[in-house]
Amino acid sequence: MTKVRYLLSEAMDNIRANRTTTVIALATTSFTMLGMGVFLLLYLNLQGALGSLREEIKVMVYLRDAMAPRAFAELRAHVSRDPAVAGVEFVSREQALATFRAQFPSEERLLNGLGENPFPASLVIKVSAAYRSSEAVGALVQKLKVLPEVDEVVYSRDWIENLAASLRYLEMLGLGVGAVLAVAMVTILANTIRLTLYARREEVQILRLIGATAGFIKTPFVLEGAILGGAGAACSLLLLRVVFTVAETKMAVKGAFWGLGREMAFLPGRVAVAILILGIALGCLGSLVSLTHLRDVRN
Amino acid sequence: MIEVFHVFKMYQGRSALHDVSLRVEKGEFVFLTGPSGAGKTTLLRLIFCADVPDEGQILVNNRNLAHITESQVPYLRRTMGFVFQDFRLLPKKTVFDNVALALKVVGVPEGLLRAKVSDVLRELGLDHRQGALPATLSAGEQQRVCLARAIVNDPQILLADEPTGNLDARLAGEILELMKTVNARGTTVVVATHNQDLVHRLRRRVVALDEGRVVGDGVSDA
Repeated sequence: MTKVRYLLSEAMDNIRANRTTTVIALATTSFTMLGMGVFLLLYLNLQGALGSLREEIKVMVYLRDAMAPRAFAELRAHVSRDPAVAGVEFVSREQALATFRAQFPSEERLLNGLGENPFPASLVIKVSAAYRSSEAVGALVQKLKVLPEVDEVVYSRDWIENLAASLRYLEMLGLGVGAVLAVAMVTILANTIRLTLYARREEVQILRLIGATAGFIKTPFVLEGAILGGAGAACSLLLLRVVFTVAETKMAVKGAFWGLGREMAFLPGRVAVAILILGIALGCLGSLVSLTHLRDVRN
Repeated sequence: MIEVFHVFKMYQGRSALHDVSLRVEKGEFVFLTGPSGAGKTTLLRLIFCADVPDEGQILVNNRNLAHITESQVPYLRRTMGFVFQDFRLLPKKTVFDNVALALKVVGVPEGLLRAKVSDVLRELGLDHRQGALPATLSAGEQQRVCLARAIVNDPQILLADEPTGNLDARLAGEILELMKTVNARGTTVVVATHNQDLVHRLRRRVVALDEGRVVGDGVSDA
């Protein structure tokens, strides 16, 4: 217990003794982790939005005219048996016309000019969760297209896939930027700890002479790194919350994220905890990097 | 207790120790004497594993230092106490904390630690200076704090490198008397000094070194 208290108090003494360096390290660590946090926030929100969009993937199957009502029922039953299909809704020509009229009342004249109902009957297919990938939906569409009753198959594939591809790029970019920022943070903290180590080299010499083990000597420095890393991560989360609130307000789309119909969300609790743990881990790593110079401190 | 067998050590092309052999028995008080550069400090550094000999072997408590790993060095050093000419006290820690450090390193419980530090400070006449910082102490007091830190752990061996180098004759005598007391309790004491007056104050064994060689081994005439 004496040892633990001593090691903790030494770590706090290190931090107090190098106040200016500590503040600079804390600020740079906070902003570095803020950079990581912004990427993560953007990524998680876009991923969530993509998930919502995929949930709503619908395949519109437009049917040929002059089909007997029994044929519609048989076709519907046939399509429903496909495991990729979660649900089928039949929209008759009359229903399609009524929907158009309800949604676009100003275009009534256009319809009157055409004379007869121009809308085909259709099946609106909801895709099962396990079949929402680009390949699975593509395969379903191919199967539908070859049915003799089917005239045309339409689904919102392209832009969903574009978003998915963009997310993959963002993921890679995020990983790259995250790695660079992590290296930067370790370097900053390693230099801070190295300064402390330099300031306390005489103490290290004395500790060695009186029989302190390497662990006893290193622990306060590692704790200092962990405290700085953890505090930097905590500050970055606070800053991120501020940035998030400001961004949410400025975008003036509170409640919807870029019109994708999904609520913008802050980092979940477990991700915030993971960021704190990452900060502490990077702090410890920075300390350990600087402590490779401990051998240079002669007896 | 300490056995040195045909030890050679070179520093920057210069021979610091040349074929040095020596045996110090348990409970002995030995002066290592000689002019500056004779090899006294080098020999002490080899005994406490701050360096390794180029040739030869050293045994401390029957342990061959050549076979001690880096991680075992701290445990060997816990059996020794060190006193230096420049005291090597931590300037930002009080007298009490400087002495207590030697016990914290080995994980002595708080209650026992307080008792042991208070005892040793009282014994060395420093109990009234417990809360003082080293910078506010006289040179003699600082050396006594250094001695207190060296003996608080009841070491088997006390190594002192020019312990009176920064002290006047009266204070040097005081420190020597304290080391004599420590020796009387059974601790082996090795004092490196070039101060012949100090050597002649006690009738003890003297090993003379010159240019890295043992040039004399006998008892001083007090």
